[in-house]
Amino acid sequence: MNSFERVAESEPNEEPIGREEEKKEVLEQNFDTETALREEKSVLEQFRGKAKNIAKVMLLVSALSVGPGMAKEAWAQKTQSAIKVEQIDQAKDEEQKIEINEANLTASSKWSGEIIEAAKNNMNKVKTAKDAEQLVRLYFNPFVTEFYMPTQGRVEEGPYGIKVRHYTEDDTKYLLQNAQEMKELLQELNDKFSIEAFDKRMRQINDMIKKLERRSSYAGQQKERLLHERLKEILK
Amino acid sequence: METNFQKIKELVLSSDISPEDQEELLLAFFKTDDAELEPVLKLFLEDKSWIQKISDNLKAKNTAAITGDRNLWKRILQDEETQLRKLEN
Repeated sequence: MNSFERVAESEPNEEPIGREEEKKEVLEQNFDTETALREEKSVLEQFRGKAKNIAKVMLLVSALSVGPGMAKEAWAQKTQSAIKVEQIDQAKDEEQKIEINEANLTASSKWSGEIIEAAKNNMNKVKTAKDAEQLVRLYFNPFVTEFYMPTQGRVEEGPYGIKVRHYTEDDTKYLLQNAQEMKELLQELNDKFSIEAFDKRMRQINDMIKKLERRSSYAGQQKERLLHERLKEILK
Repeated sequence: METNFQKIKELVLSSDISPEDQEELLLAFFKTDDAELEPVLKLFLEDKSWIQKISDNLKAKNTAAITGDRNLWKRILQDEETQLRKLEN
């Protein structure tokens, strides 16, 4: 048992919430996008008539959702730049909006603070690459998993059996803040110890941040105006 | 002449889906070859309820892809097949 394992074992209260073996394994899977698309195509190609047109749309959506091609990168970059412009404008007008009112935080976001706190407490105990990998598995994986496959807070079942969680505006801001902190921790660990599957993990946390930024920017009464302004900027 | 994308954009912006979902859907279609958007436009013009369904489909597939959840991907495909079979009958 190494130093970090001893620490992790001796501080059971710092165990992250919602850490289930089955879920942890999901993040470790290798998702072969080409095979996934080929399987879908072979099933959907058999349809005729109206169903055939819908099948074509579903196949296009699949290609768009898994393809990390140049076009998708370009969208992401444009989105980021649009968000930054908007955030600056918003910051000028409504500085108080970036503050988090803790009274409005619910179980939908509190789990993220607990995981971040425990991860930060253990950061200085990481001495080796093995420790770093263990910290990532103990805290990063449950953090990302709980976001995409929610169990805590106000959760209900959405389309395709995916759990959908409801957030207050402050929940979203708090989650965003914690996701940004988790990204910094991941980066720091990689700089020191070159953690496994770093690119994949960065894609996950970046996607999480992007979703939360989007959700956060549409909170409040200005959402319609923001949407039209942002799309005008992105899609011109 | 309006492109397929521009027409889709108008339909999506006037739909009932949330602003963040509108943005996600339009960003996905942005930069897609306009000819590839023909079936999307046709579908949305025929029945606007498909905007919500395709938005849900995109979000679910994004989640499966980013988490690498093969079981979720399989479940989505099974649901798609079921939806399409109903339309054939």
